[in-house]
Amino acid sequence: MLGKLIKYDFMATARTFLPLYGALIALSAVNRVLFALGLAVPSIVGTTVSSILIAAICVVTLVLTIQRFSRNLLGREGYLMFTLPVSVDWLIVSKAIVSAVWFIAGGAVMALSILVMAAREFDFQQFLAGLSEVFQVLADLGPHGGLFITEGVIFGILAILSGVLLIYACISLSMLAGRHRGLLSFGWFVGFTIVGQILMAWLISGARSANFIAWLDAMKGATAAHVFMLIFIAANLLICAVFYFITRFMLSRKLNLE
Amino acid sequence: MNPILSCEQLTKTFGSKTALAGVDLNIERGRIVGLLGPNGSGKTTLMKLANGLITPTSGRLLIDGEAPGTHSKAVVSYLPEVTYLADWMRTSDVLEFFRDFYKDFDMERALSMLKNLGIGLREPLRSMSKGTREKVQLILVMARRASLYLLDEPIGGVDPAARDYILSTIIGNYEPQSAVVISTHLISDVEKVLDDVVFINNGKIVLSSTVDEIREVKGMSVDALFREVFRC
Repeated sequence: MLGKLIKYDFMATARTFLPLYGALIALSAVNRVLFALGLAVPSIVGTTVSSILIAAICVVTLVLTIQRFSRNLLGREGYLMFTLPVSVDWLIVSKAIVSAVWFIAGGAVMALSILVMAAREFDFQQFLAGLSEVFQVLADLGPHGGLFITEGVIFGILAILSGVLLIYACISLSMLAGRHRGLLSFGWFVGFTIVGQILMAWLISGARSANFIAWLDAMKGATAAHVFMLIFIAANLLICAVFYFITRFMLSRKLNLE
Repeated sequence: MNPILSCEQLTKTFGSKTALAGVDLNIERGRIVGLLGPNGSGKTTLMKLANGLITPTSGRLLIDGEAPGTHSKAVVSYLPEVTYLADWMRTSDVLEFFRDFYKDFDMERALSMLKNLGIGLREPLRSMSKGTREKVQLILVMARRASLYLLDEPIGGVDPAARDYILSTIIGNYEPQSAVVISTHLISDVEKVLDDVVFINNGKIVLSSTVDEIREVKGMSVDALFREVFRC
């Protein structure tokens, strides 16, 4: 059932994202040709439009994350979604996975577009040499190299998910009110952000007074880095769990469809 | 056999407002039941509780012996008051959607009903009138071989000619071992198809009876009795 939910969520969102991605990549290729031909004015226009498209992808990814949750689950479509024989968990998880995939895909497409535009004289040999250098550094690190990449990827995914789940928690908490839900969601967002900042400041000052930095310093270079990464991963996992359970509680106990 | 739907002292409050107050009700299999009451009487609240869209404040509601959950949702076919289909989908997409999620969805039955009403499979829901969308939704709901059909105001938004088609669709498609609950205030239209009626007012059941009993004992139609009970 999770797979089916994900499938329909992709169907609902791909029709917006894919044309945008396609337009950006195509325009980047055109820009590359314009640069190569040395046409100044068309190049500037092309670059501007590309920048606008990049901004549009960022905005659309965020807006669709909000909209897929608030409309598909908490709006009229919710009458269908919440009467499907699936658990509330799958509803939240499917939405979060699809949203996270679009954030990652959007980032990849933007990186690709910049690469296409910036690499005026793209040297494949040089690119390969650069890549092999990166792999060499990782190989020098031994088993640590693979571990760092894994930790980095896990951290990245969790960071995106914690952001997405924060948005879901804020929107679900707005169900407590009958009206002005959008404004209330934003209020919750500001509230959570402030509390997050205070907690962070408190933790940092706590870590200092508990000689945490000295403890970390005493470790070997790679071990200290791993401990550092694991702390970040654990913190993000905790944040994800908190927002997930707020969302789950609201959707299963306080559902209030429009 | 246990009733397909049963409520015991079911109560739901929204803040200081009581929507349902201690409702005791059993819906038996094989019956078509009219849930009748004026606007704001608690009909939709009862429907939402039965679908697990809201949770009771106190008391309990069981579907097929279980509290609303994944199991009950697999055996209940619900038609809400609102149009709940995403407008980016085509008729063929929503058919696929129902087949994917409901094991009891009968594709052939849905296709034949769509054909009867001349609704195209490639037609996007966006371009349909509100009435046509409501018909698509009713077809999807009635094409399931469910144990309990909960229809909230199924004829409220359509013209009288379509009402007859919808009612004959309901009668022609429900399974003999299933129950149908129709909530409405358009009683004269649905009266002819009902086996039982439940009158609800201010969140309380004020009368629960078979239609035959009303006709024989009270000597009046359900519509006439409704007007008498709910006289303003």
